[in-house]
Amino acid sequence: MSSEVNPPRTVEKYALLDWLDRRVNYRHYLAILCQRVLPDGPSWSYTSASCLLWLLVIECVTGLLLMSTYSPSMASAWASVNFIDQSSAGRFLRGVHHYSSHALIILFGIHIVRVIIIRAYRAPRELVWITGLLLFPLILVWTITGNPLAATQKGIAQIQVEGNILAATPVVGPWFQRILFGGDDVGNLTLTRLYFLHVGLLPLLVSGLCFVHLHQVIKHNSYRRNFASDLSISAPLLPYWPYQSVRNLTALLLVVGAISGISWQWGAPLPAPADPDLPFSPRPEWYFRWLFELRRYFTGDTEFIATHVVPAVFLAAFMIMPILDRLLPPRAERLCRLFFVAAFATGWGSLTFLSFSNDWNDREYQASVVAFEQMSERARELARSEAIGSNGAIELLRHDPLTQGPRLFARHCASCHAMADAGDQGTAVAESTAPNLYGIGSTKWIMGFFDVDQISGSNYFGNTAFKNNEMTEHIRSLFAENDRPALQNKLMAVATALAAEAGHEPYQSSDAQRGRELLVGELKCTDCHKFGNQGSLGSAPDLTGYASREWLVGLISNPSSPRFYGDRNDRMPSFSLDQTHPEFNLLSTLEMDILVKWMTRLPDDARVAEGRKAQRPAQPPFQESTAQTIAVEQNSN
Amino acid sequence: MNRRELLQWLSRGMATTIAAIIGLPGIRYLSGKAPSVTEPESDFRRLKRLQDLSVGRPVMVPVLGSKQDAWVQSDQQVLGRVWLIRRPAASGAAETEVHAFSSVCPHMGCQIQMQPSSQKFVCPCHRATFDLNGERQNDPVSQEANHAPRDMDPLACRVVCDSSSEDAWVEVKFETFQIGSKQRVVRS
Repeated sequence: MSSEVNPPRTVEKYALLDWLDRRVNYRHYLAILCQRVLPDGPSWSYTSASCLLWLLVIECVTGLLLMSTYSPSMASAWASVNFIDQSSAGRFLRGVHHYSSHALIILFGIHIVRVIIIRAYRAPRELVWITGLLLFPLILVWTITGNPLAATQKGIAQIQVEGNILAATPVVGPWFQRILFGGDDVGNLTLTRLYFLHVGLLPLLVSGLCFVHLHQVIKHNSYRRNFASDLSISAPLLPYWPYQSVRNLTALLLVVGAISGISWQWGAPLPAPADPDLPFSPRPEWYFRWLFELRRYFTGDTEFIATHVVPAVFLAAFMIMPILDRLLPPRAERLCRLFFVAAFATGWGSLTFLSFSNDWNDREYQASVVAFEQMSERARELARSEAIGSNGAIELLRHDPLTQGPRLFARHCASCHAMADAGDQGTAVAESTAPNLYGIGSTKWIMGFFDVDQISGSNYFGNTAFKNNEMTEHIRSLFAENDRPALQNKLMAVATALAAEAGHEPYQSSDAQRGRELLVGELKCTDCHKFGNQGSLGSAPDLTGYASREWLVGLISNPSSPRFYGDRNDRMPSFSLDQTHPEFNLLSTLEMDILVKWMTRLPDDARVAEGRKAQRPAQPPFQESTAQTIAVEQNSN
Repeated sequence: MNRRELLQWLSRGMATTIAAIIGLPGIRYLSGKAPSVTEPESDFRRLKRLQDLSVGRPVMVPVLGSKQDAWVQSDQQVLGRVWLIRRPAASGAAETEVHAFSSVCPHMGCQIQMQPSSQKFVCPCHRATFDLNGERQNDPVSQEANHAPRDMDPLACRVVCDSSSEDAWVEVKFETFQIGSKQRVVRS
């Protein structure tokens, strides 16, 4: 001690500190911390403990910072976390908070194994061991209470299952679950309860245990003297500060460096906001995968063994290690100890591996993961481009044509209609019995309809009652009587005029103008169809506003109206006919709006303007492969 | 008992009383039920037109209603989901039958999905599999035993004809059940 004590100081310079020391004796405590000598001298293997402590401190600091913005309620949780991610440095801090929790668990595992291997739990350090072991499940619970706070689909699904596991505890289970959920179901109170646990109760408990743990570590630091026979190494008496500290900080810097690098690069994940409407297959975090896998082997009444008994037995077995150490002869104790560590490590490892490999081989599950990741990306994208309303982030995806359009189409339309281009982008159906709606109303789609080779094909009227009616006959006779290039030129003008009705083409262009003249004149369309003030309703669909959103809403609501197919309607149901019971229509007003927006590929007015500018939306904005979303959606139906 | 012991016991008693004054209401506060503003609706709810259900093809229908979540009440919320199956009319019977099941898996509470390839209900969490009558089955792929403690929860379901519009409506008495128990216990 004497050689390392600081040189004498002038009284004036340190007068204030001297006064403080006389009052609180801080130099005494500082000396205990800094000048203690570790039994084997400073070592790299001791750094795990210090890393754990400082990671906990980092968790508390970043957590406090996040608390300044986070708001725990179902309507605002996701939005506030997204807000954190958007604010400067918020994404980084949340990333550090998130990845530090994973690092904590990994390091804790390493720490425990190391302690077992060097038998650091021997008397008089039993309490060090027991408090340390209790800290591990406590920290796991701490992370469990943190994961659902963002009210993501994943987090909420996880806490739902975890609450149900808790409820399966005999006697007190349902009561505990009620306290955790704040009622029977996950809701606003669940978030405030989790928040209370995460930032209030658990930090208090963990700090208390940490205090006892560290107190005991330091108090029984000098166990070298008690076990002198075990330790043949005569290490030089180097004090903790700086000889051990420099090692600790090197290790910590490496860990923090890795965490901050990952956080800087990727930030913490933010899956889509919780919505009971979205299909989701919950999986626990990686550190609980072994229990998830284990319970597959325990069904019915024995399930309790996997969720409660096995973890409790492991914890208890670890706890009694100091007792085994006293009871068993050294060799038996050593075998028993190493066997136990090996059994736990292989059990944990193989169950975790099995769980991941099962999911890896489950194509349905993989498809749902991909679809969910796309949905999450879409939610984040929407949250960046538009403000979140007072009903919360749940409405982002619920009102999003890109997300809901394919789902609605798959549910209501895809039993007859396809919506796929030649490359099979979009919704393909096995047996199409009605026109392919991909690009409906566009010049290209209408030109396909005006093609004598296509109109009776499966993409248009081929599988409908209109296969051989007046329209197809008319097209056939036009192609039979006219010179093909000249006719196609005229039809192109008509197609342009019709596409202009829905806003796909500029309304005032000379092509559209010419098309409108041909439509009512030479090509005799208004003999059957109504167009503007020409022709009349009743025999064929109205061409006024053809394939515009308003027109499509009308058609889908009631295709048997005289404005559309009248009594010649083939098989199409009326999706929104009943005005007295609108809630029982196949499509609600909102759903109809979403579906039509998606079908016309004009998700917002900005894109309408864009489409007009570009003359023709050659690349529809919806290019993402929706096929997978559809596959999942169909499974869920 | 001497004076010192008496004072010690008095002190302990008072400390316990003070702890109880704060602690007991604390426990009650945490474990109590939140005050509910609206009475839970337990009547039959109209979910779908019969004509919108095709025979033998199960459909998952959301049940909408006003939902009280702690201090917030909101209308038109999804209270839960119901699987509706229209059975082919048995020979002789004039009426077609519709059966309703809760979509919540009795095992861990995940949403039971329909596997179109096998025409079975499968829960995505632990692959609990049910046939179209809601009865437990072994996993068709791995032949693993079923994890669900009981069959899917049936809901009271009836078909009602409106005299005014001549539409047949499917009505279901929507309930939720305790998860994880062998017996079917309705949650209040």
